[in-house]
Amino acid sequence: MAPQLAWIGLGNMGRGMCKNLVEKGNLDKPLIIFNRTQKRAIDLNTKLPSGKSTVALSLDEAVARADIIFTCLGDDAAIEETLEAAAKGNIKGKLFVDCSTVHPDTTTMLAKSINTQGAEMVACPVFGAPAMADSGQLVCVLAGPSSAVEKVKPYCKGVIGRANIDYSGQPQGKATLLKIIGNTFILNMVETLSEGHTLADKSGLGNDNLHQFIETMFPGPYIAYSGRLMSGDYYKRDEPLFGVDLARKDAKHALNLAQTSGTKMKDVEVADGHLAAVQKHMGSKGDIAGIYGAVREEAGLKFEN
Amino acid sequence: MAVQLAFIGLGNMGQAMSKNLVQKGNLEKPLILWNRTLSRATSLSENIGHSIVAESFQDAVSRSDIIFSCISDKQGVRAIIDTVLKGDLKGKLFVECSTVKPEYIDALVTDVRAAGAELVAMPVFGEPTMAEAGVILCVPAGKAEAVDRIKPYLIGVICKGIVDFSGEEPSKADLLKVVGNVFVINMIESLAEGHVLAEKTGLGVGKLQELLAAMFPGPYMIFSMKMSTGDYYGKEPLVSLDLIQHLADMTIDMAKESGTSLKTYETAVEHMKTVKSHAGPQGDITGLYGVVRMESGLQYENGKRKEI
Repeated sequence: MAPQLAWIGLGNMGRGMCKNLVEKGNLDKPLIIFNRTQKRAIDLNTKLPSGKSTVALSLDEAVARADIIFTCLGDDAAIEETLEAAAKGNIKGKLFVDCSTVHPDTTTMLAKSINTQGAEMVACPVFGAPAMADSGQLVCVLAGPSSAVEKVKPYCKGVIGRANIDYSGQPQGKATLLKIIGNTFILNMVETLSEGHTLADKSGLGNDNLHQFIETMFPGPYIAYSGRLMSGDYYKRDEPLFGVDLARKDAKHALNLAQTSGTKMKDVEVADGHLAAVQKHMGSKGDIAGIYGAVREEAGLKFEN
Repeated sequence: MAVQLAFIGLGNMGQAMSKNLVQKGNLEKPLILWNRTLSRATSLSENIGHSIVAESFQDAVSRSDIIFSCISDKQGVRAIIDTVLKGDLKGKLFVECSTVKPEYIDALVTDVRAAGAELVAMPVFGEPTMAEAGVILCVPAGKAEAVDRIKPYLIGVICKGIVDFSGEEPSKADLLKVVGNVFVINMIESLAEGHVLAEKTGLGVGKLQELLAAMFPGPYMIFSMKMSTGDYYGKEPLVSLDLIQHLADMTIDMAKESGTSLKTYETAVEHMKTVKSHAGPQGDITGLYGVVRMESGLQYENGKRKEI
């Protein structure tokens, strides 16, 4: 019998991933969806094709009714709280798939606690911006017991994502370790774009001319982010695409990993300093791309371009 | 009437570009070659054919319609142009590919135009093996008619792509070379730090490279492979660190003059100095990885280089 799926966490990433699960996941039962702020779940339910999803009124209900429970939450505290609450019920035989970006130690601890309750856990953090979640183009990193990972794979490449990085049979923490390290490349890319565009501005080169170069030399995420900087999207949004609070959390975990393993990530320190300036200027509405505004300010320009 | 091309400055880049011009450029007339060390020009000419060695650069310039130059000397092509300005340059087109300061190009353009000639600045991105394979990136800037004159020799001949600054003042291209190199250097620094973190946390580099291949196609993979295969120590670098430091100095100066802070770039430039002090003339820009390794208590050399 095909498993009953549930999805907890309907932020920028979760909504797109649910859409693709429903469209391409060959689910024979409606996807159970739950979000702490219920309105999000209701709105998504309305948007998805009729009968393909159903709103759970509580976390307990979502977990109790499902065989495989996906989670995609903002930070370590959120996922710890959620899975602790879930574990209070009977979760024997269930499979938890956590897509949240958290510290590998958090993942390891959660896996252990879930296992003691007779359930399984696969870590499945993903790479890609919300637009890629919408179009099913994420890169999925899977870690956990091989048999459990096999149960999750049908929903990854070809459904929510375009590629899998496979840590089958390896500790769940390996996936979030790769995710944290991988995110330092994203963070450093945004820092570099910010430094480059500010210099382009102040030197008279012009942002458009620089963008032409970026399009030719650096295909991929550089181009989208370069566009976001130039259009002012980094400060104009009502809600951030990649929230500054989440970005700082990622940086904090990377710097912690560096410290405990005896290395330094000076680039991440620089970028995090700028993220702090973004928080100061825009609060939680700030975006990782706001690093551009912070670098601009250091150059005597206005945060907003 | 058939166009006569010349190439002045036959270092690693100039040689590769000349070879591609001859082999793929459909040149009606033999390419005129000149180099300060004449033997380089002679052996190149023997190697590629369809070319002749000029006796002097004055000779090369006076006989040619389009003169390419690629000189690593800080003076660049200035000394050459000062000399030839005395002659008749009407209608000639100079294509300056050397990495030089934008102000320097502005001054050259003024002098060249006063003599009835034109100048297109065309700095390039890429290193000698890429130049050999014809896959560098060229940035031609200057009057549209002038850039049009050289387009037949660009994509598919000496380069894979261009950033087209037709209609822009020539110095814009060198401005881009300066700003653009921030991206290349910062990328290498970012890779260096990521690689070392992957090693020190026990993640290993294999899956990291799977991720890079999926998320950051292109230059990231190339440099990541250089790091993981130890292709950054124990041999002659593809590009001498001195040339890279020369460009870095220009970038730091421009940042200072314009009041821009390039904190990540500055970190990389500091690390570059350590590459130089550790590896001397064998110092490779990818050695930024070796430096981050040393800062983390590891050896500069990661032991992955297969000795021949």
